[in-house]
Amino acid sequence: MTEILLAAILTDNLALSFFLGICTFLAVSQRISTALGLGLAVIVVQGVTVPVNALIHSFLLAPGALHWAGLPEIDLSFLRIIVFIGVIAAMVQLMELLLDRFVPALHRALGVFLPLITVNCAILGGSLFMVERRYDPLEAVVWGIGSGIGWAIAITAFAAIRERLRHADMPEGLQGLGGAFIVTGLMSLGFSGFGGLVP
Amino acid sequence: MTGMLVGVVLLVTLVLALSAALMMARRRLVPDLPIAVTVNDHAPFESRFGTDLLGALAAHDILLPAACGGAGTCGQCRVRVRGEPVAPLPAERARLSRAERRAGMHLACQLRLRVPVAVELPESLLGARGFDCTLLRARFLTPLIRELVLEAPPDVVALVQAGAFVSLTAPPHDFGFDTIEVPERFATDWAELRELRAVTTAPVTRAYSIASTPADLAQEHLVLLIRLALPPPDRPRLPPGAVSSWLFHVEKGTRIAASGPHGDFRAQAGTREMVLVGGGVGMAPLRAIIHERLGQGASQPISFWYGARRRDDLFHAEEFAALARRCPNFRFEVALSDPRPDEPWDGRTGFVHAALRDDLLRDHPAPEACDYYLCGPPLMIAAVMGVLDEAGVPPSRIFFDDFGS
Amino acid sequence: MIRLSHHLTDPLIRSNPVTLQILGICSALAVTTALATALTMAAALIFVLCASAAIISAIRRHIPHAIRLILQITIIATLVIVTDEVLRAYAFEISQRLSIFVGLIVTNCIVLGRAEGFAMHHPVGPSILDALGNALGYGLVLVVVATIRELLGTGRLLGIPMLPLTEQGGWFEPLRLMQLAPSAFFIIGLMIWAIRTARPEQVERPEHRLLSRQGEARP
Repeated sequence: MTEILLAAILTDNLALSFFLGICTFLAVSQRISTALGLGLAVIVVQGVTVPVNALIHSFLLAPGALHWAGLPEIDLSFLRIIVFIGVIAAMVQLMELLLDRFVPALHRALGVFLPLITVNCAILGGSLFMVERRYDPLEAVVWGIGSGIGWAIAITAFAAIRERLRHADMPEGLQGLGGAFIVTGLMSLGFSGFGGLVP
Repeated sequence: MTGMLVGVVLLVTLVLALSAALMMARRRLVPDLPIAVTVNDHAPFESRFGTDLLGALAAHDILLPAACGGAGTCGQCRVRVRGEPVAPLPAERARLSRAERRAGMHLACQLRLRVPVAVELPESLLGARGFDCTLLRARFLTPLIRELVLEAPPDVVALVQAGAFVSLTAPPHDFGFDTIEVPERFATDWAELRELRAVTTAPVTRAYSIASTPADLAQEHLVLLIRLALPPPDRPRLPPGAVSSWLFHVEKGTRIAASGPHGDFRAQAGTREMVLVGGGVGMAPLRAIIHERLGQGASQPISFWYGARRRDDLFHAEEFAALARRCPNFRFEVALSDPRPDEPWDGRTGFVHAALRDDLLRDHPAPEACDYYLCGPPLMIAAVMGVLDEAGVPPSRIFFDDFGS
Repeated sequence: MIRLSHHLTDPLIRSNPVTLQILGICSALAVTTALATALTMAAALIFVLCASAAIISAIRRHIPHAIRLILQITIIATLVIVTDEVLRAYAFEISQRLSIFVGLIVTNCIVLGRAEGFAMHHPVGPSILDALGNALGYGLVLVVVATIRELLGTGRLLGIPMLPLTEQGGWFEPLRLMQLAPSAFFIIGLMIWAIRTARPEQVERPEHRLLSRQGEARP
C-alpha cells in the first residue's frame, strides 16, 4: 500500500513522468491559487472515479468478470475506454451537483475547473493505469487519491515557480511556453530523484 | 456472438443507469424553494432557488445592462451585495478591482440564489425600464449598415447621455432575406444573401449604442446604427444575427420593445485632449460624444480616427468633414484598409491603428495626457490597445465600449 | 469597463499555432523513448483523426446540437478501441510498449478540436485533408523527438546501431537522461525556442518588461 501511495505521488507522477494532463498543467498554472483549486478538484475526481472504474472493471469488464452472471468466458475489457469516459463524465456532473448542494463554498472555488477535468487525460490515464497494473479495488482507492495528490503537488509547485519566473529576463523565444517546458523538465528531473524511495 | 450481445446490452445499460442516476440526483439535490430578493430599500420580491440574480432581477423588470448575455465577460451587470461577504468567483475577479470586491461588488450574472439576498443598485437603473419606441425612418448607409431613427418617450430621452446604449428586443420571427428591401445600388452586394433566413422562436435582445446628436435628442429621436450580423465565412450554416436581421426587415411605424439607456461609456470631465478611434458601427457612440462635446463648446483638441475597408463602407464622412471645417479644434481622419482599385480615393490607406501611431502618437508631446475612446471590431480594438500601450498610455486613460460591433 | 488585462493575458496560447500543435501531442510524449513506438503512435493518431473527421463530417447534418459532443466522443472512442485491438492483434509487442497511451488518444484535445472546429462544418473531403494535415504535423513532432531521444539515449535508431558505443570500442557514450521523462520536456522546450527564434512573430509578449536606464524597453 505504502509503495503504491509513494509511487503514485512521487515516482510515477502522472504529470511529470507520464506527461498526463500537461495541456491543463501548462494552461492553468499562472497563479498558485487557481492551480491549487484545480489540484484539489483532480484529487477529488481521481479519488472517486478510479475506485468506481475499478469496481466496474473487476465485476463487469475484465476477462471472466461476468462469472457471477454465468458467463465466465466473456471478455469485455475492450469496452473499458468508452465506459471509463462515460463514468468520468457522469461522476464529474454528479459531484458538481453534490458540491453545489452541500458544500457551496467549495463548489464556488472548484466550479469552473470541474468541466475542464472531464477531458483531462490524467483522469482517464489514472483509470487505465489501474487496469494495466491490475490493482484490486482497495489498491485502486490508494492509487486514485495518490495520483491525484501527485498531480496537485506538481501543478502547485509549477505555478509557484511560474509566478516568480514572470519577472525573469529570459530570451524572447523562451518566454512563456518554451520556458514552461524547460521548468517542467527540471521538475521532472527532480522527481525522478525519488526513484530510490520505491523498491 | 454472445460476447457482442452482452457487450452491447451492458454498454447501453451502463449509459442508461448513469443518466438515470444523474437525473435522480438533480431532482433530489436542486430544491424548488422561493428566495427573497431585496433591491435597495424596496419591498422584497420572490425568486426561485438556483436562478442567477441577473435573471431574477430581469423577471422583476429590473433590466441590468449585460452585453454578454450573462456569460460573465462584459462586467456590466454590477451590483453591491449587502450583509455577509460572498467569495468572488474567478469571472468576478477578472472583471472587478480589488477595491470593488472588498466593497461587496458582484456580477449579477454570476450570483446564484441560495439564501435571501439584499442588493444595492443605482436608483437610475430601476428607472431604466422597458419602453416602446416607434421606427420613424430607416436608410441604408452601406450594404450592411442600416441607420434607424426611433421616436422614444421624452422621459427616456431625458436620461440619454452621449455614449449610452439601449437594448432592443426582436419578437419571434421567421422571414427570408429576399423580403428585405434593399436600395438598387447595393443589389449586387445582396445577391448572395438572398437565400438566408432569419428564424427565432423566442424574443431576443441585443444592445445598440445611441448615435444621436444633441439636435436629434431635442426631437426625441434615438439614432441607431445597425450592422447586419452575418454568419462567419467559414461557417455559412450558422444563422444570421436574429435582432440585426429583424431590424433590417422592420418597416416604418413598427413598435419596437426597448430598455435603457444603459452604459458608462461617456466623455470624461476636464479639458484633456480627446482621441476617438472607431470602426464600422463603432462610430455610433463616438458620434454622439463628438457632437455633444463640440456642441458644448469644448476647446481642447478632439480628433476622430475612423477605419473602414473601402469607400463603400464609409458613411457620415461628409458630416464629420464639415464639422472639422467649422471647428478648428476638431480633426477627422479616415484610413481605408482595402480600397478597391477602381474607386477614387486619395486619402490615407492602411489600418487605422497604424495611422494613429504614425500621424498622431509618434510626434505627440504627451500621448499619456490624452483620453482615448475606442469603439469598433475586437481586432481593431486589440490593435489600437497595442499601439497605445507602446506609446506609454496608461490603461486608466483608455475607455472602450466592448460590445457594439 | 476598461481592462487591459484581456490583451495581455488573453489566451496567448490559443492564438498561437505552434503552441497548439505542441500541446496537442503532450500525452503522447511518453512513447517517444523509441522511434518504433513513436511511428506506431503517429500512425494510430493519423488513422483516428482522419476516420473520425470523415465520419463526423459525413453525418454532420444529422447530429442534434445538444448531444454533439457526446456523439463525437463516442465515435472517437470507438475508433480508438478499434485501433487498440488491431495493434494488440497484429503488433502485440509494440502495443505492450505503447501501454495506455493509444487509449489516451480519446482525450487528446486536438482530435476533438478538429472534429468540433472543422469537421462539423465542412464536407468530407476537406475534413479528411484537414485532419491529415494536422495529424501529420503532430506525427512529425513525435518522430523528431523520438529520433533525438533514441539516437542519443541508446545510439540506435529503430533498434539498428547507428553510433559506435564505447562499450564496443567506439566513441559514443549513451546519454541515459535521454531515455527519462525530463528529456522530452527539454527537447520540446528547445524546439519551441528554435521555432520562435526563426519566426519571431510567435514570441509571447512578456507580462512585465525590464527597462533599461533610459526608460526604454529592451529590444
